Order: sequence, then C-alpha cells, then structure tokens
Amino acid sequence: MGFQKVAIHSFKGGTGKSNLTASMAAVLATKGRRVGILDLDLTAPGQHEIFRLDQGKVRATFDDFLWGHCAIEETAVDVTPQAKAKGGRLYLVPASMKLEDIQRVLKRGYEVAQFASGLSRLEEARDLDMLLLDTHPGIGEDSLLALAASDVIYVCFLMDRQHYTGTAILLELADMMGKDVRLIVNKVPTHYSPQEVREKVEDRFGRPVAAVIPFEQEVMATESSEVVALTRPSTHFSAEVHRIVEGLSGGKKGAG
Amino acid sequence: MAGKMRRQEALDRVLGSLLEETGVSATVLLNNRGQLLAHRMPSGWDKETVGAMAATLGGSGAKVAGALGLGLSRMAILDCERGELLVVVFGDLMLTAILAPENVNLALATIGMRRAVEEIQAILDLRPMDLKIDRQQVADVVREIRESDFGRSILDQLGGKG
Repeated sequence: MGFQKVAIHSFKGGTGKSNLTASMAAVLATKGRRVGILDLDLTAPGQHEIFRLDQGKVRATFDDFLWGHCAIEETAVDVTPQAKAKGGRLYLVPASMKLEDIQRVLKRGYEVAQFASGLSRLEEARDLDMLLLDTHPGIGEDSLLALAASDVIYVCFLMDRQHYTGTAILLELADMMGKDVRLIVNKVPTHYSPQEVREKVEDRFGRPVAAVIPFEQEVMATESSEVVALTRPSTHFSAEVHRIVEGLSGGKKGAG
Repeated sequence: MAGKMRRQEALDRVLGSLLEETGVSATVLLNNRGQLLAHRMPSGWDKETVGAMAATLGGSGAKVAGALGLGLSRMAILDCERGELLVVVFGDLMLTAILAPENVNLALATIGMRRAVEEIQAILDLRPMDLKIDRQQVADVVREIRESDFGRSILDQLGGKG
C-alpha cells in the first residue's frame, strides 16, 4: 500500500474534526509512521493551537505555498516533540492566521493544479506514509477539492438535526467520487448507548461507523491546547481514536 | 413549579416500585457530582453517604472502563459479605440499589433497575435519537453539485464516476 491521503471532514463546524485529526496523526506517528497534517481550514485555521505553535515563529504557511511564495516543503513544521509522538515523525503544515490571507482565500479561492502538486511534493519531500487533511467544513469547492484528493474520508457529525441532511449529502458526494468513506459520531450525549447509536446511524446512513465518541468534560476542558489521544489516554476519546487508527490499514509500511 | 413537583413525584414513584417489585432494600438516584435526585431507603440510613459512596463506585467504574477501552460502563456490582451494591450508570446519572442478603436476586434486581432507568429517562425527557434526513434535499443538492462546472471538472479528473 502506498502513500495515503485521509480527509477528516464535516458538514457543519464544531464537530471536533481538528482535535480528531491531530490525535489520529499523533497516534499514527507513535506507531512508527511518517505522518503529515495539512490545515485546510484556511478561513478558520486551528491546528497550530493544538500543537501550540507560535504563529509568529512559523516561517511559511500553506497560504504562502498557494500564492507561490515558497515551496510546500518549507511550510512543513516538525511537531514530533510537541506531540510527544515518539517512534515516527509528525509534520504540520499550518494555515495563515493573517487577515489578508484569509480574505484572499475567500475572494479568490485557489488553483486546483497548484493544490494537487503540493500534496505530491509534500509526500516526496518528507517521505510521508500518510497525509491527514483537516478540511474546511461544508460542501464548498475547497471542501470538495480536498475530498476528491483523498483516498479515505472520515465524515464527523454530532447528534444534532442540523447535521443529518448535510452529512447525508457528503456521503452521496463521496460515493459519487468513488471514495472509501466512514462516519465518526462525536460528542454523543452520554445518556445514549454507544452501541445503539452505532446501529441506528449505520442503518440510517448506510455507511460504516468508525467511532462513536461520548461527550467528555475532560476533553472539552483541554480547550484544544493538547493532543488529547496522547495526553489523556484514559478518556473514551483516546480509546476511540486508537480504534479509528487501527482501521486505517494503508500507508507505505502497512498496518501499524 | 407544578411540572417540577410532578416530575419529583414520578421519580419517587419509580424508585418505590423498584423497592416493592424486586426486593431491593434501598435505592438512590443521583448525578455524577453526587447530588441526589430521589431516594427510597429505610429510616436511619444516611442518604448523602449512600449517594457519595455510589457516585464513587460508579465514577471509578467509568474511569476503569475508559482506560481499558471497554466503552461506557453500564453497571458496577459490589458483591459484599452482607449484601450487594449495584450502580447503573446512564449518561450523567446513576441509579443505585442495595440488596440485603435475604433478598438477593441479582437477575430480578438488574431487570428491575433497567426498567426503572427507562422510566426515569422518560420522566426527565431524555429523548430518543431522531436522525431525520431530508432525502429529497440530499438528492437536489447532489444533483446541483454534479451538474455544476466545478462538480463536472472534479468528476472528470476522477475518471468520470457518477
């Protein structure tokens, strides 16, 4: 199995996508993989907070690459020490927090060809096994582009009526693109039985559920300032992230 | 206020039925911070102490289950020399039952507690899952995207699927 691109996506924001992405990548790195995270939520970036990157010290962001200011490999920051992901390597390609960059993306979008070539070059330059794409929520062009570029898509959602129809739309689009798509139900109210949630969601959406993650005060209290799957191993969140990662058999080195 | 009173009465009634029908000696309904919602127990028992002990047992069970990757804990049982202590965890709530040795019928108590939990969930309006999907809207939006210039170009690049 070769290099694998995995999108973590959702119809609505606030599903815990970024924290899931960071934790999945870090767990993969602890299993000896060389993993990259690309913060594609270009209008509302957040990965740099989870890894506590000082934006002032970031040399270049993904936005700089998109506008032709630098090579993609210059944007990849080695966050292996921050994540305490011993064993493998973990790189983060952060997005810009500068207002002018965010407005530029909103106004002009970006070139498909530039995006695709960047992913390939990043794989080569850092010898990556996997690249996790923390996408911009919704069904906009940038989101669809990220889904189209991925081999596996995890669609996250909450037990909330605002999420159901949008999630079903994403699943149809992923099917149309011929992608391997799996569901993650996050922040599930704790009075629901996870098994019952899993069965009902699989029945209603007709797709496999990779994880049902209960709402946990301890996870919320981290305020997205740490890689929860590594720092809080006794949480249900951490256990479910490990379960998700075990289901990812791809990458150059095979199952971890 | 009247609704709150009726809710309290309904919870008391559920716990009363649990005592009468299953041989449970005492029962306490509390949240995971140890605050009591309802209780039924013999005079002379300290409901606060029973509640705090039960919350500790239920909370520890949940932590252990999480750490071992066993999922959410549903029930903790403390098998003692002079009886049994059962704690059913459901969401932020715990229902505790104490059985004296002469009344111990674990199976009956377990079934009774599960039924009580369902009734408590209904009283507290903990709704069942909805998962309502507007299939027509899904079809309309997907068609719109597929027929857009951007959608067509993406599908072309992927080999003309769809």
